[in-house]
Amino acid sequence: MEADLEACLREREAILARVREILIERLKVDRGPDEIDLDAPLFATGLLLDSVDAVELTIALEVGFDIRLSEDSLGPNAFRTVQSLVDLVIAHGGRA
Amino acid sequence: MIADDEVRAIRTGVALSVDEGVVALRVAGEDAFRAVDRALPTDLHLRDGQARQSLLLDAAGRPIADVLVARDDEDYLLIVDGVPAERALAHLRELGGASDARALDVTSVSVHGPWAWELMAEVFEAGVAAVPYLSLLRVDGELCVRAGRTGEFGYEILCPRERAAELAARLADRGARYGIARVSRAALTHCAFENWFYDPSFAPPGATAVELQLQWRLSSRKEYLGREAIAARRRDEGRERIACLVTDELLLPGDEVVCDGEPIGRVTHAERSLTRGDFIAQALLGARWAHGGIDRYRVRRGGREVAARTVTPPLVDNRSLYVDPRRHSFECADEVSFPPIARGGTGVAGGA
Repeated sequence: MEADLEACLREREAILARVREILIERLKVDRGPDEIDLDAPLFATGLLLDSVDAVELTIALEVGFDIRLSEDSLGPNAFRTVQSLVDLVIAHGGRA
Repeated sequence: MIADDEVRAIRTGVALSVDEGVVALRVAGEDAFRAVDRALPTDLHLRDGQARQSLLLDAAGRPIADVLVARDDEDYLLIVDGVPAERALAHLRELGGASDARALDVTSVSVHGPWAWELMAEVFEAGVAAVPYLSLLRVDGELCVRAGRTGEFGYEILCPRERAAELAARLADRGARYGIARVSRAALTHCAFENWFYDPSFAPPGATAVELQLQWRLSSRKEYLGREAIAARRRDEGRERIACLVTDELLLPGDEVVCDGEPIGRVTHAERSLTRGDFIAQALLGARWAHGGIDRYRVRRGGREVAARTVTPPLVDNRSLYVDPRRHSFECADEVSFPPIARGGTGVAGGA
């Protein structure tokens, strides 16, 4: 496998692991990491987050990945699924 | 064959669908909660009028049906997709011991689209527009679930068969100013796929809730049929999961996905997206490969290889996300600023 692809997949996996940690530790999602799928919806009946959690999640991502989430990047799809969060972190230059 | 007009109505206006084959079950009686809680793998914390997505699982942890369960006072309503009513009832009785479970003799009359809420409010009552997602309500005395299976606003009315034609005609008549179009079940399923919603019709055979990324529908506390198999699959180092591919030509189920010439998975469902105009596919990939934002994979098709990129779903930026019933109206739709409807940008290292 090409080195940059290998690195990209590793980085995505590492960011995913950190996002899962944040969801469990900061957002109190009552599941094990291996129960939190990439495509799991964050809100409604998915991982059961609500609008208050969205604020906490924003702060947790900014602190956890040392990034600043710009307002225009937080459209309705930004917090849609766990994988959306991984993309959001990558788009803002976050590293695991 | 799905017409472009059907998908256009779902994505940009209002669509009307009538389904005489809907499977709707009511579980009543003192043991209703206990019976449904035992039969479904989902935590069943529902207040009156709330709904949530669930599944019927087999002992191997494979979904046999998609379920929307709603609490109606002390009863539970289940809308089941994937198995006939008799099989769903047998599942409920066998696992839950439900003694008072029956299939409802109803037809589903549903409306979908970014302006569906406005039509519903106009035909029935203004308050319908304010009903939250995943709610059970009554319109004209009939059960109605606000759920949707396309990523757009969706309302499914379950009415006696003899009322369906009149109700559909009323919605079609009042919906004329919204450019309402009658749409097929196939069109709704196509839009569900574009939005990456689970549909039993395109789930890979043998896939469990782990591969399908549906673990959010499973309780992490209670016992349910298939729980042990799910736990074993989670521990499996060689597990796979579904990923979303976008390509420039139509793929076929069974096509091999490769990376640097090595097989990493296979295509399990593929369609030409009528909303996007390109080709989208579901592939079952080794878990380490199944991430969005990768443009290095290729798909083997008839002795040659087609470039593919993985995309974080959904593939459509639903207009319903930008329409606010408190501020907007179809008559002033031009005032709403919509982004491009196709989602999914560039590849490796390039984000979603």
